[in-house]
Amino acid sequence: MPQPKQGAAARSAPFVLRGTVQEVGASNVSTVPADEQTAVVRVDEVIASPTRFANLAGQDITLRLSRPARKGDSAVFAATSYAYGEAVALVEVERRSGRQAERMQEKVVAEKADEHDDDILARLRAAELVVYGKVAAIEEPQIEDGVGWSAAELVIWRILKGAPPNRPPRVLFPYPRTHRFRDSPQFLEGQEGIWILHAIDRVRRELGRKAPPRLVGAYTSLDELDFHSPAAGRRLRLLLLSIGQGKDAR
Amino acid sequence: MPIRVVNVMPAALSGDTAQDSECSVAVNPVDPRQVVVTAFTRDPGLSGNAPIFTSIDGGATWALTVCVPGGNSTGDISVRFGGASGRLFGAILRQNNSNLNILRSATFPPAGLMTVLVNRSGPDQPWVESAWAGSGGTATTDRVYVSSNAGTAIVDLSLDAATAAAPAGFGGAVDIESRTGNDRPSVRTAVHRSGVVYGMFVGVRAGGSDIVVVRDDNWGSGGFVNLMDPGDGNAGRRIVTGVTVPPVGTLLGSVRVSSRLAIAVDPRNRRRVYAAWCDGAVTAASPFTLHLRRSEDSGATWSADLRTITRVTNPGLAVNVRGTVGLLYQRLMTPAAGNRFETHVEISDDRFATVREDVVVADLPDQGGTFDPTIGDYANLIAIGKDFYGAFCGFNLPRLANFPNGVTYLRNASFPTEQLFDTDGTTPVAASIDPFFFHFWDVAPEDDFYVRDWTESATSADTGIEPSIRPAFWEDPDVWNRRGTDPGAFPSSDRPPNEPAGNGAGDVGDNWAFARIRRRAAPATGASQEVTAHFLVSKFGTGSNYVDASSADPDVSFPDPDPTLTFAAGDAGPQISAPFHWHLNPVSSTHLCLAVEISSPGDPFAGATLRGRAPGWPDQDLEILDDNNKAQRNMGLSTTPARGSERVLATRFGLVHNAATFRRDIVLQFSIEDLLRPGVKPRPSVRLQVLGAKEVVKRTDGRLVLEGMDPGENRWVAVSFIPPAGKAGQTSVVRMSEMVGEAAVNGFSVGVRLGSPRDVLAYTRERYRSVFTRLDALRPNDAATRELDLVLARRQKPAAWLPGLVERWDGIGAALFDIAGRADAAEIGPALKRVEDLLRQGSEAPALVELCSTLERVDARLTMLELERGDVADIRQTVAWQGDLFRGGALAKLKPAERLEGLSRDFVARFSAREAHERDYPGHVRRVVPLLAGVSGKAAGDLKRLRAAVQALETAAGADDLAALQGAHRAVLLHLAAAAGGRALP
Repeated sequence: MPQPKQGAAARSAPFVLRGTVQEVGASNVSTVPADEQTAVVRVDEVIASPTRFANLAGQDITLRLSRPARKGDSAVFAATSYAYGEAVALVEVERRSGRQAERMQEKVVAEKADEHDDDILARLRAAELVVYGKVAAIEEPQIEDGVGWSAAELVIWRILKGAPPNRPPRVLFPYPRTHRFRDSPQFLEGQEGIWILHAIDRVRRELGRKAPPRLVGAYTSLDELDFHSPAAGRRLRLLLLSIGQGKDAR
Repeated sequence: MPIRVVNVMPAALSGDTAQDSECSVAVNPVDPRQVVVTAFTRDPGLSGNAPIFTSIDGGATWALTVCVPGGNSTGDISVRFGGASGRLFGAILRQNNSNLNILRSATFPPAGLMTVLVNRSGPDQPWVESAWAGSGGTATTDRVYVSSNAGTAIVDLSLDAATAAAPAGFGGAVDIESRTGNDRPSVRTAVHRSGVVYGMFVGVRAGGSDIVVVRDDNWGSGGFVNLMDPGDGNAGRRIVTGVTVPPVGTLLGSVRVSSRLAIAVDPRNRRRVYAAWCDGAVTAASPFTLHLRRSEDSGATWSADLRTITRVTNPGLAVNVRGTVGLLYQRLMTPAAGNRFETHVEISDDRFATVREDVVVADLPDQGGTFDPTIGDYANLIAIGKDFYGAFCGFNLPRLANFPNGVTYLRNASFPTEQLFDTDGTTPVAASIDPFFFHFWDVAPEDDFYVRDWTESATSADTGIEPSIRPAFWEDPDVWNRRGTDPGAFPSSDRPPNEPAGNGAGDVGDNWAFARIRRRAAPATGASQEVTAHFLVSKFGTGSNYVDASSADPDVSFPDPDPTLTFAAGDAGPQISAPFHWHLNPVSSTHLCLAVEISSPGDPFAGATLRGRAPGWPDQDLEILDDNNKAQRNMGLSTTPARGSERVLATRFGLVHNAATFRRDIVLQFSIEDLLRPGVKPRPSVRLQVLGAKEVVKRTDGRLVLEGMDPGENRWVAVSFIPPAGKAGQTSVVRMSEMVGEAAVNGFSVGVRLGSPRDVLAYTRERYRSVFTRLDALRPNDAATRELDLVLARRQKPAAWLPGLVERWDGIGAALFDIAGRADAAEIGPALKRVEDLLRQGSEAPALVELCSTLERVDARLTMLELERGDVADIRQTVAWQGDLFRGGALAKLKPAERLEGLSRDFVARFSAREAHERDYPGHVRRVVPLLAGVSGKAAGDLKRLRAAVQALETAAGADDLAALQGAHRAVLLHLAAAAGGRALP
């Protein structure tokens, strides 16, 4: 059976683990029935995972296998979420063993490191304005469709992307946070940083219901990657340059 | 009562510090071990799909299962299970685009992503409810309702959502708001299995908000316009108007509030509906306040507040199969040490006249929120069977004092140090908001005894869940009859070995009833428990009222006391009750229904006894299905030749009785099993005919409507079919379900059991004996007596019996035709001729089938004659009807109406409580006769005939004939009902 291009599935899999099959046809999560497709696997090394599972090494997990395995098999497993009960249960999406496993591990480590930059680049590409500055004032929140919205008026010290606005930009942010915007940055008067700003009209079109209110010339920075500390300035500039959008590229 | 409270965050997620708020809960009615809780919980593995909390052990342990498409978490989410299908349905707002998705999973816990049935933009706060409907046969369909707010209140619905590909029956949304203006986000429905669906929402108007209830009487297919408001003539009854329901974002403590509402319908009474909502400006002068009200008339009128509680959010309402009501709410308390939210469940057995229990499930600090809504815009309470299940969210600090009824944490927690720990058991974790599940047992499983409503095989049978899931509950229940004291050997199917009843003097009329009783869980230790089995019988068909040992019915006697069974610790059964002797007198037909009601101190049967009633009447809509303490057998099989018989029709009859206290059309849904369907050789075809009606129905399924039946009126449905060919022992039936709305409240099945020639001969001879026993008792004549003597003496060899009939046929035919009556509604005359022809041709098998059918005609006719006099079984119904007649309408305006209504209500109440019996009936009649006589002088209509009827009643009250007294009483009421309704007198 032809195997998928090495690392292709692993790239999208949140978990990449090196492990050893302890028992086939077994499960250590009660809601995951044991059958010929399940195995209990001892995690020997966490190559990539969401932060909270960085300490999985040494623990037994349940894997729903994509193809048969034998007790004692050691491999690198790329997997995604299945269930979290007494232990972690994952669905295997790719498996490599031997030298292929080593190559996959190297590739995944490199690609996962790039992944975060890719996410920031996507925000930078979409932004109308990227600025370094500070919050001059915070406006009282107003309710729109059940969500409270505050505005932070910025003082711009430097523009990293986009044309200078006619007046100081106002950045709408949910206050208090709601479930939909649970990770959105919130701002305080005097706060310094780098904002990746998106024009309010476009955001409203994209969000549909529960969008921030229409405010002429306003921006939003609703994604958790839309606000960075001043220390990230050099990195963000380089990222902008890499896509030909940085001010220094002109 | 016991309650289990569980923090559902599993051990593998002990490090969780997220805000997991806003809960819904679902329990699989077919397998209550399967439970789901939902919240704003993110997939910790960031797979791009969202999770739900799942349990497969009734909520003791939990896992977070990733199965919801559309992002690592969802927006609003709610879930319900369907019916017998076991499907899980969900309604969500997707995280990635806020679209409404309606979802379905065929497995549980879902393996892979749930199937998207509907995907569209627009609405807010989708809320799913479901119910299942019987189709009259054994099949059921899942009915699913997703209410939401699209500016105004809407409902998406599917009448058969279980299996079809997307959109699985979901069409366009129904706008249930008939007035101008916007509605608040919360929209809820409550579904009764009769097809009545209620909806509830908050309408925002210029002068304040309306709390509105809408209703649809046909599963929502009519657009929710069956409940009109008398004030403005629009659809949707406004319970209150002009109240303050704050906009989203108003804070109660740290919790945002706005529209908060819940609605629930009593599964025992589709007309009884409860509604709870919160209103108030959330100020000291106008606190946010919960109101609970009840309607007894399908939402037309509403009580005053049954409960009024200030500083409350997230109400939940549920009614269990006993009519017990649960009310969930979260109440802000403001002690000096800081705000807290108490989560309460109040339980009421008397429609919230009083609160039996107020359980504080949790008392948690109002803290831990990182975004709105901190503990959610809703919590959830549901009832499955007798049990209540709930889910709510709150601060998860592990402090025992916060959980007055105890709690279980699955995540790592130390209660002595009040500290959460990560999966390593040592790294401290900050407290946050978690979802909590609770299960409140109204009857502990160890106290919950049941009789199976159905058995399909040794491995597939009723497990005591309520409601049971086979609509044709009358075919194979664990109550059965035998002609001896041996309960019989159970076949491999594990179905009870029922035998047709015998009638006659002495041991010919002796019968023994049995029930097989189980317990849902056996305690390891503890005292023994005693369970009493109470047996009742009624005439075969649907709607016939039951009689028991106290009924003084001349047709049937019950010499034995109720058998009692003892369940020791560790014993879950099954136990078979001791033989219960009952005797069927010669005058009675052997076509009877048998029922049992079991009770124990901790588990009495729900509602009223069946004595004097039929299942479903007057207001316990689905009581056999809903109450595992009751079971009913109502199936009659004729034995026909296994090789089939193309030349003749086999015919059986079912009696249809209007057990209601009002004139109505009775709807019978019929379905025909495979063996009797077209295409099976030799071309069996079923014909249905209501005696006296010309129409003969030849379809394989559909509905018969018996129009305009008066209370207590009886009609007969003839079911005829060409005996099919098959293997001896095979059975096949025609099911007749009595429908109330879309729910089968009762019914009967008639059909065939294929047998050898010897079986057919034996069966026919027994029917011959039974019918001639009745004939000899009711209309004695020489021929009848001679035939009875001959068949009882068994002097003739079976093989000689049929030829012997030929020789005596002239006398036999005359004796049978003697009762046919001038109209010969049972068509006895033509049937006798067909039998004679076949006998003279020497065609044994067809002759036996035709003879048997003719005997059924005679039996039905004898029952008609018997019931023309009156029926002891109908005494309670008659008095109840009398009360209803004088409670409303034209008669209520007459002077004695109040007294008559009061006397009637008192008799019925005492009768239901077993404080009054049939023997007390003459006394009641003597009290009401003067009042009825007074009415007869004032009522409109044919006064002369009414007065004569009252005089006849007075005369009957002095005689010792309860059946005749009931008949005379009914005649008076028929006159009064006709007069009140402006109809011609009967």
